[in-house]
Amino acid sequence: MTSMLRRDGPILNDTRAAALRNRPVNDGMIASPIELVDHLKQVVHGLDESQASGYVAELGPLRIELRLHGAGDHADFFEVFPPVRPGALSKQASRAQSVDFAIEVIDGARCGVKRPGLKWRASDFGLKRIVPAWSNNKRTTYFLRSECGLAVADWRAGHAYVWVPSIEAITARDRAAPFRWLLDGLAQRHSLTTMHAAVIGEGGIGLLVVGESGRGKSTLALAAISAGMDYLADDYCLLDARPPYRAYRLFNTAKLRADARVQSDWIADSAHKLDSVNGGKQVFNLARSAPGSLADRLEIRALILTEFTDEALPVLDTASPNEAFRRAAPSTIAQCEGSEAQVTAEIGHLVRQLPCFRIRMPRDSRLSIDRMRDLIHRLRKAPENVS
Amino acid sequence: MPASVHAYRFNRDTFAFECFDDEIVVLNVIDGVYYAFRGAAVPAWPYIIAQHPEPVIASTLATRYGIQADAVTVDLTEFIERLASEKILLTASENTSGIDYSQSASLTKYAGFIFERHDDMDDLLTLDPIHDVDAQKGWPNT
Repeated sequence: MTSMLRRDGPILNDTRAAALRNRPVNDGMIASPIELVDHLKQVVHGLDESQASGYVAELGPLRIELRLHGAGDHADFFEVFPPVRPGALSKQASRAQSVDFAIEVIDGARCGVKRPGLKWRASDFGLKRIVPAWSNNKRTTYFLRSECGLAVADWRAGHAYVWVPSIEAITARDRAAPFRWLLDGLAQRHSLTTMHAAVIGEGGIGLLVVGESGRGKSTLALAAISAGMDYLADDYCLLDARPPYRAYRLFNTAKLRADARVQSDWIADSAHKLDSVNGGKQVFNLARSAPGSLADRLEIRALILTEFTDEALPVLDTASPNEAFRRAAPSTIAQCEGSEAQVTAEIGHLVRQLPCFRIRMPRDSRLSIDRMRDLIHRLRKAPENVS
Repeated sequence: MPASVHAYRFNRDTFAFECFDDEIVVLNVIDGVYYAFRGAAVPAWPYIIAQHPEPVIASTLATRYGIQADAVTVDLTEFIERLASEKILLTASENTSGIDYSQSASLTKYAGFIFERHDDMDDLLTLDPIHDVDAQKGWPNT
């Protein structure tokens, strides 16, 4: 088999396509991504519209139309996405002209739609460990291993179809950040990147908080909310890695460990906990719990590497670009469903262009927030002199 | 097999890398494992991924550090073998050229090849295996 540079997972090259055509197949089994698109398109056209709920999300410069078929009683499913701003959709333009991409979600059980039988094998989806995907430049087929579902994105048509056994099969973790794997591919087609990072800020200036799970990203992000700062993300954001390095909100959610160091009235009083996810985390919809703290976009002026300390006071010092890269890139790249080479280069560029800092956070996160506020103040006044 | 006839190419299907002044960071894009290479690995890296012969790389590094090539060769061979054992380098059929070998001596002291492997992402990415196709039902089979 010829070796090809991957974009969006393994490329469906001619050799593999020929092997697929020659594989024995039962009647009714789908043999290609375009057949899967056509099949699910027909399925959707035949569904009862009265059982569907719709939503238009605004993810930075991208507008996404979402439709959930067969689960009208789960109309709040999409509320984890930032809604389109009121009046942003022109009355003159048709909805199709106003959105960049549409995602149709089919609840298999409620719609009476069985999972399509596919001719290809699991190994055809490549080696990605979270959402294996299989692409050519026109379409990407995804295996949703947690839900045992599947999806296909038709990039040229600007449409994706997601089949899940039922809406309940979507794990709480994935409900906190739905279709992130799909948004990865879409973002890259619009010169954007989805980053595994938290983002906090104030007055339009943001800090990109990077690092592997358990090192304090969420803690710092939630402490920022408690302190009245802007919150854009605790785990995933959309980033334009070109100056002025804007980050955009992807999801309204925040996660908190049961044993988290952050204590706050808004958390304790929140009646809008969604669910528990693996690791004992609680998921909050901040559009309900702390709507005033949500920022749609922030201009990133520095990268922050978090870690915990048993010391009484926080310590903020500079970090090297390579240290920032090692903290920012692995988790983003490993979860990337787009071009890993492109994302690697973008993170490499980012850590060289922006100042990087390491903060050692004590148990009282308010002290760390004070340091972040002071840093933002200095970045606003004289960014070139901050070190 | 003598080291001089080994030929490798960078495994671009599975890895990506970024070069910094004092460190090369290589990422496994599938599982998030990453590697940090320092010391003589930094000046050697462009030559390695450009598939230059080991004796040429050793000679170039010896000139750079002002030491005998023999002192570099053993370390370089061991480093390349570790890269190959991690599948960062794959066996290649031919070498390429195009890099200027003429480097002036540097005052930097030779400190060998530093190779670090980090697998911090394992907790994040440990998931159930994918089940393969059922001949009657099609994929996925669960």
